[in-house]
Amino acid sequence: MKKTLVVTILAASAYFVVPAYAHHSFAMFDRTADKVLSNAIVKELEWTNPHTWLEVLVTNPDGTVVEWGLECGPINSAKNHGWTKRTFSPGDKIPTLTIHPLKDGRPGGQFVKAVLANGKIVEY
Amino acid sequence: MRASKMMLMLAGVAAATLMAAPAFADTATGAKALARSYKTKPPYSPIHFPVEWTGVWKYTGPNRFDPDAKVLPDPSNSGSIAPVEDPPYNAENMAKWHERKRQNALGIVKDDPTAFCTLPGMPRAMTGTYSLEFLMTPGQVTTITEWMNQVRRIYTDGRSQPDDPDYTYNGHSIGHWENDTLVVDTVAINWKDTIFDASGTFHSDAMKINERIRLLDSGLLEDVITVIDPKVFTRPWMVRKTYKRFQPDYEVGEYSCAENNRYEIGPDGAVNAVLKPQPTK
Repeated sequence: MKKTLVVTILAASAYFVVPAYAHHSFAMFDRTADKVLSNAIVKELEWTNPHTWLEVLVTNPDGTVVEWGLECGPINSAKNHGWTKRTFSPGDKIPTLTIHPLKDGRPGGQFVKAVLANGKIVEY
Repeated sequence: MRASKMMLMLAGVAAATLMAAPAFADTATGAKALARSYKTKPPYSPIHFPVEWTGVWKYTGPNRFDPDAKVLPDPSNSGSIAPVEDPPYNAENMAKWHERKRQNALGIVKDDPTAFCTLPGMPRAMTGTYSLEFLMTPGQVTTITEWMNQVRRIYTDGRSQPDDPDYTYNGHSIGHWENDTLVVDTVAINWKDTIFDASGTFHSDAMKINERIRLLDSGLLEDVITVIDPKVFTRPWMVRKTYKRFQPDYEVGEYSCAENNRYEIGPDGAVNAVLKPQPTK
């Protein structure tokens, strides 16, 4: 009985640290680091499988504009996190956007959290 | 003129359909029509299953083959799910597995074909994520795995395994009832392109899977899965999966993996993201 309980707790704790979805490994992202993109403008939310993708434009201090591609959850998971296809629309401003960047330095990553101008927080 | 003629024809077809509909409401006539739709007699008996669990089910526990296996620490948080305890590989294949486990520790699961939208296949269809729908119909139990829209057919009409089956992602499954348990045997599973879960555990062409599926008193659905693969394993590998019912208002989503699969094999052999071209000035 006690052993069963221990096994259950182990299994349950493992469940929370393992990403629920394993379509691919996350090795491409530096998930130990958070990178913040400031004042991003939404170009498009690709509401698609196997992942939804948020494309944003960020203006660098030197005035150049960079498009960042951010992997978000599959539609099913995104919905379970309260997202809809209208969570982000083209032109939306995201003052603070936190991502796990790609390790290879290209402008892309994994969506973590967006803090909108009205203070609303969108997480995945 | 031509359009209105078409409309008349359509109206005629619709009227005929409406008139035909009441006839099918008559059970006897409906059964005759059903029988006539087969070239020979239906291949099943009228009583098909002692227990019925048609509906949409949710996988419980972690998304991997062995739900009780403790996984190795993942300091890089890469999503690695390599089990602490090794699967029962024989000496030759244990070496291959350990190399894969080493890659796992680096987060490189380059041997997961589903990253490029292949079907998860068996036994992954029964251990996946999101929902698992069961449809129980005469002569066949069908499962639909929401992840990858994967459809699996288990023939319960008494047929045997083919003499020389083609190898497919799901393999060939036949089932029979032992009291309230659906016993399913699966053979001919594509061994090049299917794995047990994202840890990259592999099998050979000799793999056979036995499943014992039953509804528990608790309301959970249980699948006890035994994998026998004498080419790579030293003993049967058995796991127990359970599923709980989704609420009736749960709608299974479409999952077309090829819709927008923005991944490629990177220079290090691992999966990497495909980005859009930068905006031009």
